[in-house]
Amino acid sequence: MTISAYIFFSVELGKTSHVVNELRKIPEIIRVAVVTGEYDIIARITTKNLEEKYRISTEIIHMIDGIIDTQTAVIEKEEISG
Amino acid sequence: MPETRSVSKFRRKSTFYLLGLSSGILMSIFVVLDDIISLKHLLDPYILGAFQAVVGFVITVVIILLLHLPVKRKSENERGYNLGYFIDKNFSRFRFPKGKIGLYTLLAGLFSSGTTIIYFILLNRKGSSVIMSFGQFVLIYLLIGEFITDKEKPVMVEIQSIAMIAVGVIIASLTGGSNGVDITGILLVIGPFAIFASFYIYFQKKALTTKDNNGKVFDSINLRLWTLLIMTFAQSIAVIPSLINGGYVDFVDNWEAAMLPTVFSVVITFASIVLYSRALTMGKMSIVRALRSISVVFTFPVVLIAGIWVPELLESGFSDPSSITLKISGSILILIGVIALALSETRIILLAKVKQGVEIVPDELIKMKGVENYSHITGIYDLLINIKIRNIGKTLSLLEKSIDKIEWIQTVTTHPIIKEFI
Repeated sequence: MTISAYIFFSVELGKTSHVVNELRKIPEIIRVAVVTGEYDIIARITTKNLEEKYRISTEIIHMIDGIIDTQTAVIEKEEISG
Repeated sequence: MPETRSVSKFRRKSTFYLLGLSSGILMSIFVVLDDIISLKHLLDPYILGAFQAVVGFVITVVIILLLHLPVKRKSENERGYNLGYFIDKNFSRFRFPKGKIGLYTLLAGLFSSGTTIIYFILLNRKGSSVIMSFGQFVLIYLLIGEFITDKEKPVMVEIQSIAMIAVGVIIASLTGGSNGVDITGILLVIGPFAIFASFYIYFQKKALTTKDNNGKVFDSINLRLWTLLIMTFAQSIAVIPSLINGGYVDFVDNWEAAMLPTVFSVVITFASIVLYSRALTMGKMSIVRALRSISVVFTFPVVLIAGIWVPELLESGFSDPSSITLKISGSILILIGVIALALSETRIILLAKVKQGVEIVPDELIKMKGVENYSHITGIYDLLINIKIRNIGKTLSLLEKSIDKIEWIQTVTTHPIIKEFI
């Protein structure tokens, strides 16, 4: 069963564009938003299962230079307007 | 089903832009086709309107029947889809709108009939070179409607856009020479044409967002069918005086010649709507709207090309350099106004924590203005809410008037999106 999650990123000063470009190379990441506030980037990821999500996080995302911290929020349920 | 594709793929991005632009270009083509029919075959706007409505309804029924064709499933476990699902995910089969949805569909159909009748009158008076510009005037009324319902003052970009669109429509409707001002034409545009179109859009949206007794929403394909049926009835009634006053003889003589371009026009209209709907599923509505507004200026090259075979097209508005300059200037002004308005839209991600022991009422969030969707998430926060507002200045009022009033939400942090890749 596929799972979707949001990943919240805190990024080093001056590295936002680099992190965004690296995230956009990952096929499972379907949305990347650069935001202001508590986090610097919020990305949405969809994977086949949790194991694949773990692999992408540890082997690809955590290897990106400039990321200080990540927090993952798995989507349990989604409601769409109208 | 969740998507699995990369945000980096050029193909997807280019497809999105291609869909939005193609939709606008097709709009220009069908308007010019309508103009050709009104000049060459069916000169009476009421007869042309009724003829197109009847042909349009029949063709739409055939197209919708084709949309029932099932699509082969990739695996046994996957649920079955039909072709229509790829245009609108809420479409499954022919549906009759009942209750409130039926009322909204009826009202959408009646206002659509009104605006279509005036569209053909304007097309007859002014030609296709400016009709697309006139269509943009409706944005002003939609904005004013929102200011009234939201009890909010417009911000600078909205005032600028309104001014640009209004002045653009007036300039585009002018023709060179001493008889340059067509007061009746302008009044028709800013009066019934735009007002009916605004109500049509309003009731169309209401019909598509209201849930029935089973909690299901109506789909845009069925809505198109039923509004077309109502339009066909209304246009058939509106055409009676024209038919009685000698129009019937003209119609009998010319309907066969008008059939082929009318069929093309109806099919292109449907294709334009399909491309527009597909583009909406791939990206921001504001960008799609901005891309589609290309039709305002794209009509000029289409008219010029079509004018090679139908020189009568160029007689209306292309007779002297001053008329051409006025039309192009007005259209460009409108285009800039529409794009400025569309691109000022802002998205915000809200992260919320909910109160313990208090019942969550999802409808309170979903019905809130600007909320596109929200997700129940694990981790520090309980909800991630995606919001779309006309501009960043509306954030405070959105929070004060809406989110802060929800009992079961404890805290909210706002994250305005400064750049997004989807």
